Amino acid sequence: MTKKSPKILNRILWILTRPGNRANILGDLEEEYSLAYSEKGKFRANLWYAQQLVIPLTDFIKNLILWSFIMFRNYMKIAFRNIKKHKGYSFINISGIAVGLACVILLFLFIENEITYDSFHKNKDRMYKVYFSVKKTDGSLDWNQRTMLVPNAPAMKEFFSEIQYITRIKNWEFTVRYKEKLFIESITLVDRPFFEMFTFPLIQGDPQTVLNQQNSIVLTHESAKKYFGKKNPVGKTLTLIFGNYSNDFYVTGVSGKPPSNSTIKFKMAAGIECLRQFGESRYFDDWNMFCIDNYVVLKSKELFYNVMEKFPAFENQYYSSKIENWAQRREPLLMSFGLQKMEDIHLDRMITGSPNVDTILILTGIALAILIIGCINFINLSISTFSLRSMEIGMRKVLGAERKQLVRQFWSESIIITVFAMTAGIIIACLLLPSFCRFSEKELHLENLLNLHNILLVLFLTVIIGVISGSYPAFVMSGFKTVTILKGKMKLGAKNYFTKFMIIVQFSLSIFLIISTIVMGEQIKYLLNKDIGFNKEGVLTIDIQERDAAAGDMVFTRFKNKLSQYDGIINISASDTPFGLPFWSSTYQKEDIKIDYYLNKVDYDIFKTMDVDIVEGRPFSKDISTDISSVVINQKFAGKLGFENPVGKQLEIFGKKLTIIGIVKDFQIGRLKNEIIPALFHMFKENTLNNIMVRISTRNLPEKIELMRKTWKNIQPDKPFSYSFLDDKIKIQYDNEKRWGAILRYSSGFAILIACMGILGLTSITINRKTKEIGIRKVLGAKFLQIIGLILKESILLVLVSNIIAWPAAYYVMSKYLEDYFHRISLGPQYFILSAVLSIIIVTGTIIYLVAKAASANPVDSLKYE
Amino acid sequence: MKELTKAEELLLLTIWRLGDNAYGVAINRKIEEKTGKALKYGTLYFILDQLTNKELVCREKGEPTPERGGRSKTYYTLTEEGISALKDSIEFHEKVWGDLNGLSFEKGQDK
Repeated sequence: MTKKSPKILNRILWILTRPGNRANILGDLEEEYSLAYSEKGKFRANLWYAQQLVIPLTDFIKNLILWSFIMFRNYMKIAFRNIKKHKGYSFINISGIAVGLACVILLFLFIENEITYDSFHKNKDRMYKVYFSVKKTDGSLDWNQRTMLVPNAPAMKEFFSEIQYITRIKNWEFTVRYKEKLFIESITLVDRPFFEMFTFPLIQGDPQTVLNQQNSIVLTHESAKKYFGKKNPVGKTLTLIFGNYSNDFYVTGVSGKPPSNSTIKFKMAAGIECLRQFGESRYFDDWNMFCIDNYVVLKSKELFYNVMEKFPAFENQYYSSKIENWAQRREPLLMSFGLQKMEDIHLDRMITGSPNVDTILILTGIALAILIIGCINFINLSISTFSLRSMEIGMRKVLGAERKQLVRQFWSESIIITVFAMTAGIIIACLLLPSFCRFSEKELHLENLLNLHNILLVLFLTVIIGVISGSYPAFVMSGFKTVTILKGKMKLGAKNYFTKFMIIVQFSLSIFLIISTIVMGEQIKYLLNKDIGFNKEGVLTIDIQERDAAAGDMVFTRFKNKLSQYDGIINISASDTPFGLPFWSSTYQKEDIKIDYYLNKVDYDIFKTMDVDIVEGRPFSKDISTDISSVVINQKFAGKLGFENPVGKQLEIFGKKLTIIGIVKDFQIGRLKNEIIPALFHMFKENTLNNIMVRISTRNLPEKIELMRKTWKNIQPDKPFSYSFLDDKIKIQYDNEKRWGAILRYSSGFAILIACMGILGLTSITINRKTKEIGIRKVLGAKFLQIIGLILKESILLVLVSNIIAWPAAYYVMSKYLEDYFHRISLGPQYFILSAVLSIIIVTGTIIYLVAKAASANPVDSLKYE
Repeated sequence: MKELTKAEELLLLTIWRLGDNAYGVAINRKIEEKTGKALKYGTLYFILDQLTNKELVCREKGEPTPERGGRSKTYYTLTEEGISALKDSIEFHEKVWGDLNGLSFEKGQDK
């Protein structure tokens, strides 16, 4: 009877034997095994079989590890020697990849923050935001409504047994006072289960009960510090002031700051029911104001479908009458409720309409572009310095190195370079992190990189980049014939099309970024400096902070009376919304005319204060009492109305007949992204003036502000003096543009810098190679400039080709970008020519020193050794 | 002709002794029987390869057997050169050792 040897041992032996005699040896051992099995039993047979493994196995391990280690040590040694020997090239290599990697690391932090949005909530699997889609009569989606009615949440809680928790979330501005400290704060109003639903750990207080009592308030650590310093805030009293109402709130808990990847951010949280104490009870029964976020936690996540199924019934019960109500005002509405998963909110394009995915994609593109440019430097320089290494490679081949080993050598070298680059990249990323956080308005920490998962990823990235940037040199160089190398017949680099192609890729990317930077910069400059139809300089806006129309009017009148006689205060007026920012909007409809317009309550003096011209009719007047039911419209509105002579005509708005008394010149309301929109100005008694607008001469500014502060304290001792400059307020609207402008400016700067370093390295190699040629040419009578031209010609040609490649891409992308703006610069040829000139100047500037040195060298020096 | 090493000589001799049954296990068994110590198969085949390269032995594939796990035996036989090399070797030994028959350490020699 024959017995089979243990499979594993057999397998190991199979690996350890040479293919030539494998079948024989294994066969013999098998035969011996079965013999031993029948003679001495299974155990002894196995033992004997295992013994056969000992020597070959140890040999094998010795060869595998020891020798590869020895070879690896040798590769290391040579790599370090090379790095040391060519310090300049190594610097270019390492810094190029390092900057690219720094960008990738920052981007990585950014993306990690974006994709982990709201994932820290323990209930995230069954947590949703409530929204509803409004459909047009033809069934297509009109818009997604993401804020709900205030009474919606209690209605849902009552209707759906599946809901475990539901909370409303609304930020509301209060004036908050503690002793002499007085601030305007946005307080997050929520329902009781807020801290049970969301994972915002409390430092003090119990999540289940912290908001149970009326007038309890929870502060974040920071805001507690702001009011109470180092004292224990729990149990202290804050006074919340809103309009004429003021109520005391007791601090019942302190929470940590919401993480930067949280959709819900708050500084102070209080129960929403407290609004009743501030005279705002009407909200709780208002079936018209969609103003509040609703979040739910279901009892289990499987119940999602049950809820979705029950929504039509819910809509019927609570909303059907309302829908008819709306139908009188506009076309009929079809709504259908839905639940959006908490984790999806941040990146969702459909419901949230979030541009965050695009942001991620654009940033990834930029970071990869920079990384590619850096890697190309490495590839190009290794190809071009190959002639310096060719003897070494030839020698290794002669001494028996296999191709596989040479590939391994080049790879280990490029991985060493990448490891250096990664270290440098992390340092650069550390240095750039604060400014990157400012751009991205996120709190990012490098510590986030310090978990096993990310460290592995970084190592993986290092190896991958090393392997990729090392593979061209590795495969191409190891493949040359030994004899050709050793005879010195190798020619590589100078006439290498691959290198040229790579340079063109680098510069096309850089030039693309440069053009984008220039165009975007010009567009931002244009937006900020465009005449918007009124004089925005030297206007101070002061927040009145009164809800009641009469109270607001009174504060304004007293303020104006006290200050108007002062020198340097040119004009004082007031409006609901400051000019330049978007106003309230409404729709005017009569017969077949439908006009979407902005409306704004103003004081009679406003047009004079803001320097807006009246083109027809007259402005509001203090002395004409009927002006409170008159309106002033802008040219656009007048144009849309289509009246031949609009002044004196009547409009029917809000059930009132209003006389048009004047027409003002169009001016920009809101961002210049949009076109000028019809606007209407009124002085209705029931609307509130929210902002005092003071035009001042800018001499002695601090003194005037101090004067106003004193006057304010006199009139409104309970409210903080909160002012800002109108032009700043308008500029804030363009922060996003500015941020992108800055990101592009930096990245194109990095890109061109790395690309230039690459071309600097390549030029120095070319010049070295051409030393003799230059010498001979000089001897034969070539002029200094001719030689410069000779060397520069090629680089400039490459840059020009890159320009031509980059132009269409840049034109396409930039015209897409500009399409978003109603007011935009035209994409003329000047930007492209500018980028070409700029790139040629930069490249020439980078290498001119080297070239000039080579051209002015004495030919005797380069030729005398011949 | 180059001289054989001791191991080569041993193997040639063993193969000659075994006649047409000279394959891995049999060779090793015989060696163990004669010298008291078996060779490692790695060593055995290394030497057999050398002998094959020197064309002193030639290989012949046999039939697969179950006790070898379905692998076939490889039989080795001496070539003309192999036989003459062995003869040379014996001659050489006799030349060197022949007149020393009376020495006391001749005991234990296998003849």
